[in-house]
Amino acid sequence: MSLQPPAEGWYETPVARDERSWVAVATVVCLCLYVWMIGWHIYGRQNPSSISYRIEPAEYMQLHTAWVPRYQIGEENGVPVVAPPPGSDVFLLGQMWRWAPVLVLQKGQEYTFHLASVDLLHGFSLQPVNMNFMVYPGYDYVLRFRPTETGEFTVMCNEFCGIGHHMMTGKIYVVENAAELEQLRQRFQAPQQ
Amino acid sequence: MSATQEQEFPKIPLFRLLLDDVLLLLFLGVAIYAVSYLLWGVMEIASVAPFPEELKAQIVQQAGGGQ
Repeated sequence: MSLQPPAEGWYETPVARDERSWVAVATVVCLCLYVWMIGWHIYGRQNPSSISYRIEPAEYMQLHTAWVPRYQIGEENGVPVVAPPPGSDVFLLGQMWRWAPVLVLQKGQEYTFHLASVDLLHGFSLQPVNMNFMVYPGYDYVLRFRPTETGEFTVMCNEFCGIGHHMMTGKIYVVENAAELEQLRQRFQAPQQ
Repeated sequence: MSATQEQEFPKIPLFRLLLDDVLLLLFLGVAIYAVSYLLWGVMEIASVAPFPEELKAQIVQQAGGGQ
């Protein structure tokens, strides 16, 4: 019975050889995983930057509102479409129940993403690459972001945030070059059906 | 402690006392991690820096039409 103390004299009894072997194997596996974890942190290609800042939701909203019109190239379903220049800061906003703005990025260029919520906890989930980050109100989560493939990517919310949670989707377009960016610009500037 | 006393009450190592008490082990197994993770969390939250004023000013200034 496991809840009873072991038999008298157990403390002085030498540990059996097979048990010692299992402990040794488990220790070696743990050490390997530990080294792997450190190595992945240094050489892994999808590590977050571990930078975050404190910012009031109202202040973040102010920054977002100030930043969007500067690089806006159009609208998609009522959401502004923004094409920030490579190397610049991007202020993505999570709010019940939308991700704003829609982003147009260039492949191979680095951007500094700022992620924050202005109401409650949301989850930034980039699909289909499946990168997931929690987005808190009151904190700005910074990500150094370099798209490696072109296409249309969906941002979903993966933290339940109320009745409209399932509709909280956003979009990121990644284009190959300036010519493709111009095509998108024309598409979003044209009146939508 | 005399030899007779030692014979009657043998000195039990501390580690053995700990390993013999399953409820104490259960308590420590929960409490140690609960306390250390809570402290770690509090330290992490307390060490978050405020948003850089220069960047804030830069974004607002750009929106106003400046460079």
